[in-house]
Amino acid sequence: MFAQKGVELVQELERARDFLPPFNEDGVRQVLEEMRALFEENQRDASSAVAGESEYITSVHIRHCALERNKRCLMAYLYNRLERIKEHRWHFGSVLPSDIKANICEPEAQFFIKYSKSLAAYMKSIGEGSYSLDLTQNLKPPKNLYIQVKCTTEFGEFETEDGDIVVLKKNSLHLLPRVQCELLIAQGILEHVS
Amino acid sequence: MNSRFKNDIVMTFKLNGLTVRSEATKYIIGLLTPLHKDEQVQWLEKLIDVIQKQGLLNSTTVEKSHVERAAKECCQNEFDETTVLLNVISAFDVPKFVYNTERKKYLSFDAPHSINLFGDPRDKSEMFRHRYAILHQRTSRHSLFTPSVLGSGSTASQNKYQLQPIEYLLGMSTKLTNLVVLGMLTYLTEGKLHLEDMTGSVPISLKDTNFHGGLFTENCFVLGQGYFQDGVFHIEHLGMPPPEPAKITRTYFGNTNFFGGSSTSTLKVSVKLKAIEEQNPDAMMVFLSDVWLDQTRVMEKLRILFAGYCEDPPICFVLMGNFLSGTTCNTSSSHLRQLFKSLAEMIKEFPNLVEQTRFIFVPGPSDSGFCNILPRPPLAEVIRAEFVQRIPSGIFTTNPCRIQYGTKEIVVLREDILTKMCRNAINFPSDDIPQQFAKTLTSQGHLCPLPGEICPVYWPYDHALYLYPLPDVVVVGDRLGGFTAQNMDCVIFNPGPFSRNNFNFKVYIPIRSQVEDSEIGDT
Repeated sequence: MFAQKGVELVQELERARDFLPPFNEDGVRQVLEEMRALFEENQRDASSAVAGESEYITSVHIRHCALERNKRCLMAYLYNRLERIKEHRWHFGSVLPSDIKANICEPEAQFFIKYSKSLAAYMKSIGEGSYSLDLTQNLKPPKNLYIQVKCTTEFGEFETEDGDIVVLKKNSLHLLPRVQCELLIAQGILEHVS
Repeated sequence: MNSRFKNDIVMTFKLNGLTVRSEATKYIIGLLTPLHKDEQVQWLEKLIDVIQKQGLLNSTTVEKSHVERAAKECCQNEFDETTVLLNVISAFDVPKFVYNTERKKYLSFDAPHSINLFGDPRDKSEMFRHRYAILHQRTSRHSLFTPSVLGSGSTASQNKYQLQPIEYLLGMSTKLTNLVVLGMLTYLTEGKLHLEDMTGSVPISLKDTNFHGGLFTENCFVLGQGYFQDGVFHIEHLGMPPPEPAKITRTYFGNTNFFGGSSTSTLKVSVKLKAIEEQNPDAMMVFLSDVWLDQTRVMEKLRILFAGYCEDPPICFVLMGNFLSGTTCNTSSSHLRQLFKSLAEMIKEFPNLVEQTRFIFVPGPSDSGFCNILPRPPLAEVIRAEFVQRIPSGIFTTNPCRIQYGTKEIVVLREDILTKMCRNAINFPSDDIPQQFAKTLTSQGHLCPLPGEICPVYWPYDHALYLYPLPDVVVVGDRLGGFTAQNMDCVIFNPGPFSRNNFNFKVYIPIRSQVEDSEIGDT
């Protein structure tokens, strides 16, 4: 069946709901190859149809539908991947963990850098003067401003926004402003203890 | 003021999704305080930009070292330090990439310096496995072997083959016809050729074989087509795996720098280097092989050569060994040292050359120092010290070595590889040996597809001999007469022994990818 490979790509992405699967370069290439073949056949038949042989028109139509479907599948695959990559920016900050980084291809990495840059520029433009608004914080309304955290790695000095320096040692407990440590929690350096 | 600025910095990093260390903040404050407010903001953004582009960050925490590097890069923006016009890469610095069959990608192996020179037995099998992996992925991507695409016409689905693993043959008791197998030729038992791949080995019969182009030797990877009966694979057609131009390879594996050097992406795509290259259309590289410095006639001819190039200095002279005409003995080191000294004195007479030309020395198989296992380390410090002292632009490098000039990639090897291949070929082709040789090297993707006892290789450093993706030029210093051949956009040439024939050598012109024959006749 036509466009089988394209559907497989979309299915693959759909099945891996909770993580980003590696970019299936081979699959994408196969779809493109199929599209190229379809296009070439179509062009030949279309030119004979123009010459007056009307029995070709149906097959041209079917191939054209297959081409369109392939295109939609590819677009869906790429778009949904980008959506997930965008989500990662909100979740992990502007540096991706290495296992995710290994699963994205070069243009996607470029997209990620550009996306986080424009996000930063936008966040900077919201506030007045030096008070810019960090939208990635408090995605859910916080219950309290300070939280108890446990440090899981030997991190060293950590500077809070108001200039205090906290030394984060392994297994030490701290009471820190939630805003400050959200990023570190996402990176797995701190752990929330309730 | 200061604390406000500090807050600004922390905030800006934070908006970009980064946490900054307090030492790093202090460092930035120190850097930017003397500037005007608007400039500060600009510089800060530029810094963050560079930090993110460097890709050195493993977590969102920015260390002082990152900022330092970024600041340095910001300042040198005009002059990019990774783009050097001429770069000589030693065989021991060639990056190692291993093909990952699951992810269908090349992954970089850990730092090359952590590899042992003398590997263990595992390294030997790994060596063949890696060579096989390269050729297998390349072959199975070839249009002959990819499954025919749905919707394409009937003509396209014909002439398609399917690669079979040897396992498949071994499991069959009936006669199988029209099989295609990619495997390595080996003599597993005395005088009996086998074909071997990752899954097993099978004896082959070459009785009614039609040999396609190439020099087939032991440890060569070949494509065999034929039938399988009674435990023997009868090969009807034996050919080299189809080569692939570097351009196609790069469409599959992106701009990874397989060649070596400081840049992380290949310099092929560097617009800047291309422009510099085009500014100097007369640039030349001179290649000489077998420069016997101990013969006065050779020295005389070298003087003529240098005098001839003095007015219009080439980019580099590549002089390949052996540097002595006789065999090595215990006095040859001191002898060589003396000879290099006098060579340096001679070059000094041409100040133009000293200033503008690089002298690259590649040791030959019988030069003193190390035994002849590839890759071979450069000539010893003792020998070269006096030369380098006089001519600082002299570079003593390994055999083989890689030279990058602008966007061109050049691999240089001094070894009688063609002679050895001809001697050990299982079927000697009758026509145009240089062309067959070029075909063999490009198809094998390796400089030296010969068994270990004929041309030994340090197993863990086998990757230094890869020709994949194909470079632009492969220079093979062989004792056979000079030749030039071309296959798949890759020029392969042999300058021919300088001291043995009519003092002939070859000149390569990068911009036109052209090789010119030259010789210094008797005057």
